[in-house]
Amino acid sequence: MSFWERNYIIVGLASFVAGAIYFGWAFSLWISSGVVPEPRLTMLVVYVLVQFGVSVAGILIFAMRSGDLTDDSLPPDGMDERDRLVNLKTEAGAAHIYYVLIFSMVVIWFWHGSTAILIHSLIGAFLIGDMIRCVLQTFNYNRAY
Amino acid sequence: MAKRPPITNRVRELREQNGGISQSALAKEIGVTRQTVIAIEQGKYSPSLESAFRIARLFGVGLEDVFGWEGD
Repeated sequence: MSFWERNYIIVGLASFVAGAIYFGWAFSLWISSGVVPEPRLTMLVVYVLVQFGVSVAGILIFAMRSGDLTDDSLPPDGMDERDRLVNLKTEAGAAHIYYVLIFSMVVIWFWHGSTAILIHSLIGAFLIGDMIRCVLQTFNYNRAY
Repeated sequence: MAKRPPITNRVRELREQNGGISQSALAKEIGVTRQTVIAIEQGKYSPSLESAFRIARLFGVGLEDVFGWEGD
């Protein structure tokens, strides 16, 4: 598995963990109070820290285990022509997904008219977008060109 | 899964004929990752023209001695 393919999977997993913590918190408050909870800065910070922390830790641990950090055959930025082609295809596909997610987020906001919904759907859009991008990247690495 | 490109190659065979040069060493010589060399050998990736020339020149053969069209 290439350095970048593995990294995308790790970032996807980190997003899943951060999203599970954030929406677990929001869902439990929603169940207990019966209303959509107001977003808290603490939870947004926790989401970002977990996503970033798990990603960085995962990338470093797997890079050390696989010997990528000492592999002198890797190009300077760790990315070659195939990585760039796969990235290009993934970003092109992911851009459409993000458009749909952002549009859905705005529609939900107009429908409910609540700032809390807007913030929660923004986090949801980041989470779903990251996960889909991760799946697209893995698919593109394993298809034939 | 997408259809494989109709381009065949003898990269693995040429590596073995040239003293068993490793995938990592070949990757370093042509400026790609080892995973890309593996993908080329498995026919899952057709390299750029530049990399194709680099591979052929490394083995001291012509481009058509390394790459061919399926069925030819």
